[in-house]
Amino acid sequence: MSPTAEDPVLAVQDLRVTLPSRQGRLAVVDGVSLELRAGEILGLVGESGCGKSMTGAALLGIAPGPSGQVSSTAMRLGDLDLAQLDERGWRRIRGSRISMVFQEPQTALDPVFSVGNQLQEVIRRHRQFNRRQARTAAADMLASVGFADCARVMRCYPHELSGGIRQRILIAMAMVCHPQVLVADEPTTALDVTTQAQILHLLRDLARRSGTAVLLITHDLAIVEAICDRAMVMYCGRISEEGPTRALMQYPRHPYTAGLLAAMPRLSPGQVEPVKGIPGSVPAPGQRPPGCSFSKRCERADDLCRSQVPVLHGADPAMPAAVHRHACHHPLVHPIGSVTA
Amino acid sequence: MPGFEPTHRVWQKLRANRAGLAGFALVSLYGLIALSVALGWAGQEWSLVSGERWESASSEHWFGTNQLGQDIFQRAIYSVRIAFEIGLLVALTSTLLGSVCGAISGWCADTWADDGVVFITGVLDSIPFYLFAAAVAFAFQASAWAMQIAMVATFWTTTSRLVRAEVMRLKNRDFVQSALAIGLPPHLVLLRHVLPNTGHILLAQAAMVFVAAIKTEVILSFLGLGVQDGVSWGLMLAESTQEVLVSQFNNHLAAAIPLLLLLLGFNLMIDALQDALDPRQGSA
Amino acid sequence: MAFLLRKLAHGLLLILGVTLVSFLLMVYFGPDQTYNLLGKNATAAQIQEIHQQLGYDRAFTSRYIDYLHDLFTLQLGASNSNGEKVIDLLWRSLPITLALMLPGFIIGNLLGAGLGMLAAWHRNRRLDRLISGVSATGMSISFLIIVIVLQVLLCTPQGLNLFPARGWQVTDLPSYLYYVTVPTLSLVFITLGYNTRFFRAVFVEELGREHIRTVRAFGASPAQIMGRHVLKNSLPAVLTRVLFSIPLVIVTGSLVLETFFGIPGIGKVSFDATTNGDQPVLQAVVALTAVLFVVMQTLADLAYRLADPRVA
Ligand SMILES: Nc1ncnc2c1ncn2[C@@H]1O[C@H](COP(=O)(O)OP(=O)(O)O)[C@@H](O)[C@H]1O
Ligand code: SF4
Ligand SMILES: [Mg+2]
Repeated sequence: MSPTAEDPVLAVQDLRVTLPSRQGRLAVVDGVSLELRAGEILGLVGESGCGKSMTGAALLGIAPGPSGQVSSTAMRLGDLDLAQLDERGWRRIRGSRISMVFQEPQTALDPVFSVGNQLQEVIRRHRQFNRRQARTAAADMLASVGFADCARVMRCYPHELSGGIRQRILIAMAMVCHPQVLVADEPTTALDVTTQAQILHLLRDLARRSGTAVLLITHDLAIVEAICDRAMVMYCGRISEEGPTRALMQYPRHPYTAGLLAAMPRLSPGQVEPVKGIPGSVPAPGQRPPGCSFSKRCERADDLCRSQVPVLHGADPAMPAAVHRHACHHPLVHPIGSVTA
Repeated sequence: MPGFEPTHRVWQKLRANRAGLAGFALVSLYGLIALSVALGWAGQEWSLVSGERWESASSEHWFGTNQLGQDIFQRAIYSVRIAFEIGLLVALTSTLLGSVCGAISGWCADTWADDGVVFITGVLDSIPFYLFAAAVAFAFQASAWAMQIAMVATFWTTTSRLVRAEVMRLKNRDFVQSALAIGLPPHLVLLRHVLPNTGHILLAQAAMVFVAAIKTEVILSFLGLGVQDGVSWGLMLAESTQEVLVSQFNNHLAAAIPLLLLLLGFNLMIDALQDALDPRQGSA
Repeated sequence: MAFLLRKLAHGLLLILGVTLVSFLLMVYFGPDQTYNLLGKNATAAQIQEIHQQLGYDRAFTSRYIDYLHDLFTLQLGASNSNGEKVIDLLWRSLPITLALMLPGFIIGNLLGAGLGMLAAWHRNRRLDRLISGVSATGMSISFLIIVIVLQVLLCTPQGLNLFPARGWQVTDLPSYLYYVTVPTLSLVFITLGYNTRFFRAVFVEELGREHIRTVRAFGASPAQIMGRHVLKNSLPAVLTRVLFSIPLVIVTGSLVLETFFGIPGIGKVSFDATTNGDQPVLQAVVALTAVLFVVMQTLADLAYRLADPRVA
């Protein structure tokens, strides 16, 4: 049975994260909808500053700072209505049904507690385990993220371990209560290439084995290509294109996606192409142009783009349920027959 | 200037901070009072016995009179000048001393000069202040400057330590290294490029020393180690400890309230200053 | 081990420094004690003799070494004013000072930590502004004023008149409470602003660290975050400050409180010694508290090492 056929474990509609500013409340995440199915890895990709981390944290009910606000029109985790949760309710599911891994393994662990202590803290918060059971569960989890000598690792303090090992431990902490959803926010950005690959494989393994749905946040399309089933491209707090990884990468429709792809360093034999970056940079939340927020950096921009916000839709408006969708007035067109995904 | 926040940004932040502005206004008002006393326009009759003992407030004696029949208002006003004299003297001297020693120590980090300064600050910080003041008062018996000497001797160490850390940080910055690389003499680099960039630390620290000096004067004068003859808020409070026991509160209030307002003004101003100058904020 | 030795050497050096300062101020450049001890009509022979006794005729280093020797063998001489041996005087007054200052010191720190925690958790929100504003005000009130106001309110017929304005006749618990309450309240009020501000700053810093975001993402409650992660991480800073402030509070606090409430502790002893020019007493207090301070500083360094697994 293919996992995509099932009902989504996480379904979010019109997610919004707002921050106060002098110009009033600014939407840093501006109407993102997403669905995650069991065992699936969904990539959320975009340049830094476009709101990916905010989106990820909002899925755990964490608003940026005391004055940030998260809202949505619907938010369900399995049979649980997240929109109804108060802070206490959120705390009960954070770390148990929906979990998160962060970018900086160097600083994400508390330096003054041993690894075992921190791992068991998570277990005993969410499960009615005694000390022994918690220890066993912690050791089991460490084993399943690839540690041989679990007892020794549990005695270690974070500063005694390398970045890759710490990230493994953080993943173990995130997975130890077998959550339905794991949000991994740039989990490999701070690691070297070899370790990066190991961590990505571990994530894929865990997703397949335990059925946990993973939202993988990254700025790197190569990572999306390597392990994501589907991908969403984010720009200025909105989704500009989404679809199955293959289709999206081979036949990008949104000029932003195309730009990201062109900026991707590729090793193609014989041909050395200079890497093209997208001109300009992500505007700060208060300085986004009206209409399409990409219009300042887009070669195809015209008056329509500068006045009307493009909405996410399929290539063929007659097919509303299209899996490959984009938010662009003048999308890239690919030769007929080439789009098979 | 490299390494320093653009001045207009600092101003914008300062201007946006209402509490800080109120503090600044309050301190300025006191400064004006102190100035007019110093110029002889007000508060000159602080020692004149102009009435009976413990007269209550009247149009003649706004805050009444004290035990000796002196006008409390005049004394309170004159004390503003004393407080500013002490505060300014101690703040300027200890800032000067602290910045010179701190700069030398930071610039020559890990040499004997640095070790010496660090050792001296460590020693001075190890002697509890009021005991140190007592010792100085004892050594310089009956000198009118014992209090100021004790304050400067202990207050400069914090400034020195802060300046040292900042100079050490700045020394490794590109603009300093390149100035050295093109062959500018080190003392010029220190004077022109490094020290000006410690300005924000010196400003905030001088203000804090000013506050500390005023508060300390009160305690020392109360203990008999401060202002020897004359008047100050500390002496007024010392006088008033006897008076309040017989329900004479004028002297106490006339010293306590101005003192409280001045210190509050300073604290608000310092907080605003530090917020505005803190390089870690505002870049988010 | 190397660390321990380095710290000890550093501490010893500091002790040499502080004793040197106290020697210079109180003995070497201090006022001539001859006539204090002999009276106005001393004979030349008497003067010669006392100069020899006091060492006025000897070289600087030998006098300093003698001074150190006397200090560390606790041969502190006798008080000029009543002839009591200084060591006895200190031994008698120290417990009183400790009994007087300890409750206020502890309560002040606990309250400050609690308020600092609240303010840090609600950073930049209304509760924080309130707490920070009140502590700024508290720091602006001279502690003399706090003491006077509390005394008028609680100890005089103008106020509630519940407690004694002066004195220390402590024999049992009720009498202890009777005499210690107002000084304790004073000390708490005096230190609360500073304590709250310190703890708030430390906790804000700790709350901003990334591992706090992690434990939050794993479902920790505010109490768990504060009580477990923030507290343990801020332990070195807190310990350092608490240890450092012990000598300061004991000496500075007791100087004012004991003078004001007429309590015969270390502070009153040093105050009387200052006003009477009682050199043996004053120099003993100065040197010993400075040494105590250095010891505390060294202990704080060691505590720092113990509390932090990274440097163990
Ligand atoms: N605490 C904050 N206050 C105000 N704006 C913030 C804060 N944190 C992040 N931002 C802004 O929110 C936007 C989205 O940030 P983020 O989600 O971290 O982006 P990404 O993870 O895609 O790099 C950025 O433009 C950033 O400037
Ligand atoms: S809507 Fe217009 S500006 Fe925006 S991406 Fe499409 S073509 Fe470019
Ligand atoms: Mg991010």
